[in-house]
Amino acid sequence: MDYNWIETGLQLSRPELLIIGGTVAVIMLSIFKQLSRTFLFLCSCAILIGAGYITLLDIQSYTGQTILFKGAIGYDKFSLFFKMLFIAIAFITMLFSYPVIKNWTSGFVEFLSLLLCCTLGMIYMASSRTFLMMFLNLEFVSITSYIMAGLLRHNKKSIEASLKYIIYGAGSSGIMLFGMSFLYAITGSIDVYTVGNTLRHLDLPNSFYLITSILILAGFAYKMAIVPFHMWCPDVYEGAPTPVTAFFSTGPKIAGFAMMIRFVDGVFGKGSSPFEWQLIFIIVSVLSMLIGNLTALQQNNLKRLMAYSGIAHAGYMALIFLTFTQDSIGSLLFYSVIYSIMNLGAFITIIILEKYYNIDNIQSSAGFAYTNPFLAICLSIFMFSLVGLPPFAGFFSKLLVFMSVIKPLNYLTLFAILVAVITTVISLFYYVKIIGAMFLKQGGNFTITERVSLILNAPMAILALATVAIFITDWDWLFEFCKSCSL
Amino acid sequence: MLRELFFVAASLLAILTALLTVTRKNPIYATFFLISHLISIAILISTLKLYYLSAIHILVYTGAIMILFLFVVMLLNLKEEELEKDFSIHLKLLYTLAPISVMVIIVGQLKPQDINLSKLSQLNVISFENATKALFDKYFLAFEIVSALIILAIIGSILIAKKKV
Amino acid sequence: MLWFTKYPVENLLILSSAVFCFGIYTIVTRKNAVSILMGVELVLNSVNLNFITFSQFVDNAGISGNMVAIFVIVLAAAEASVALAIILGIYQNFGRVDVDKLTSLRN
Repeated sequence: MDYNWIETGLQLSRPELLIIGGTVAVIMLSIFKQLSRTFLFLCSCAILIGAGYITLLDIQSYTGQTILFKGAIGYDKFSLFFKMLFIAIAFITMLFSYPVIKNWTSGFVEFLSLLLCCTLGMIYMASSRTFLMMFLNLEFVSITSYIMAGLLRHNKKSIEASLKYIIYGAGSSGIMLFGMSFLYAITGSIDVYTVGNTLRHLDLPNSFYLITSILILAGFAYKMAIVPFHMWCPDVYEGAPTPVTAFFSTGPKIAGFAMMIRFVDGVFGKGSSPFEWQLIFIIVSVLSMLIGNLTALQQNNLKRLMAYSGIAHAGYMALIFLTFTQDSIGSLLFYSVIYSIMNLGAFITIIILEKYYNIDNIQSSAGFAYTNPFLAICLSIFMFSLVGLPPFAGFFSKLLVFMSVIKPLNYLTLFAILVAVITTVISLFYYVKIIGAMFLKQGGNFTITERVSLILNAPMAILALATVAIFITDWDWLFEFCKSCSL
Repeated sequence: MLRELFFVAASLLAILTALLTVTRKNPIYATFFLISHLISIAILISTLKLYYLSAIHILVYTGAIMILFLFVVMLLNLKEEELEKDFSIHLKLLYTLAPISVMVIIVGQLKPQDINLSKLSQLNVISFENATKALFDKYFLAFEIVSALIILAIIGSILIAKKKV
Repeated sequence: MLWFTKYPVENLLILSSAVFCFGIYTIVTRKNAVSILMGVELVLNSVNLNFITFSQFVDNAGISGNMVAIFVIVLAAAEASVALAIILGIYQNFGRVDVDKLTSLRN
């Protein structure tokens, strides 16, 4: 028997091996009571830094495409890009969650290990090539997410969020697999690229494609939190511990997009396809933009507001499926980098507000800017960037997505872009509402129990700087890099 | 002939028990009907000459998952009247008709020429040996990921379900 | 009897689709969390049956459908264990497991 393929596979997946080995090591080390929590935290950070360093070395030198583990996963610049992005997101999340989780009575080590393993699942989500791996990794990320949402199990909100998440998640992933089973029935293969090649030679009725794609979209859409399957999102975001919410709003969502891109690339392909699948995405993304932005207007709770803003942003990201070209995929990669920077930053400010000042809604934050101007300014930077106002990073990412969509101009893309622009204007209202409450209104006294930890302030400042710096520096290289990483 | 007989009997039994699972108000009865549904599905699988899968199905589904369900139902002491949401008849009709229409469309679309209509007795037997060989060959990575997932599920369920801090 | 054995694939497809519908119906209409989970098990079971059927009857499908079925069984076990743990947690906090009685989160 020849086992060379295992050796090659393991060699090329050193970051994943490091993460899974490190997770086991952290769990084992936690048995020793004399080791402090700081030590375990530093260990987990070191694991992520190591994995990120290896990936960075790989991504610089690697070009081409390899299929590992006999067709299970694809190893190319696309998957390497997402590997890097997910490790970075996990690292930042772990960094700023430390001040919050170090006081938890239980669940500290579990948080670290679950976060590490969830990162592993997301990496594999972005690189999986078969239905089996897609479903498996989706469930991997989902199950770790359910547990992370319910980590504070004596908190009613947390455990309720966890239950709602698992009911929606289990149901929609089952529906997705049901749809995949019909593609398997027609083609006899579970590899997405083989399925796509076979489908091109068959003459199947449109209704078959329609039903199967809607069924399959259920699973993906739930992970991406776009409209028909977004109901879990606000409740889970509000109930879950805030660092976990920050992670949910970036990591798994982007992983869902990565998996969707590979799925669409395999089954329908970039060129013409037997079925006008773009129509589904127009409906879905327009609905997400409208419902996300309009519902966010009525929200008072900060985390709920961010949930609806996340739904709206998923709608903007789903626009790229209208023109599924290398350019538009590149712009999605660019968007996901910028989106994670500003969203993580916004969540750090929410964590500080919640932990040190006991503020979790807009009303009670009135006049806050006079107490901690630094935080208020950072928050406004993130909010303006989330709207997409010109000097900030969010503007460029949105612009690139819109420009890549509008290339083949027809009524449908024009309509989608029009809705996107109008909803962007609407979104200005609720983001500015937060800033207005902080700067313009007079509010009560904000007493602070201890100084804001540096581990929260520093990442916030760095992320805010990154959001602004993209205007000053040349951002072309980042976009070029993203384009070179697209499928 | 015996195979055909079992095939028909198991499929009828499966659909009947699934229907009973859905309609029972008492969760314990529902669980028992779900168990019998799963057993009849396992019989159905074995008539398709997948004996190893049928064994796994009975071991994991009936032996592990359903017993866990039964344990939780009895532990929580769920009462009969706590079921059934109070929906209007229209909503109920909608929720019933929507999936059925989906099902009719899909089953109507799958034309027989897509499928090799071999008889039940002509199917291939996939042995335990072939299955395990495939498991450690083409599905090696999936197998490893599942092992990591199970560890996580154990850690998570212990963490969430334990009473003391 | 004749119909069933003459068209085994159609028979299995109708069975799995019906079970799928029952599962979805249970998920949507029940309010007891344990019953909802039973609906999820029904859905996963129908998926399983589909993959097994197609792997046996479709030409050149090979063993992949069987493998998907095995992994679905394992994942169903993992998911059920986590879900039941969460339901126990809900019971400790709320004293009941009805989904519509959980109102600590708005809406």
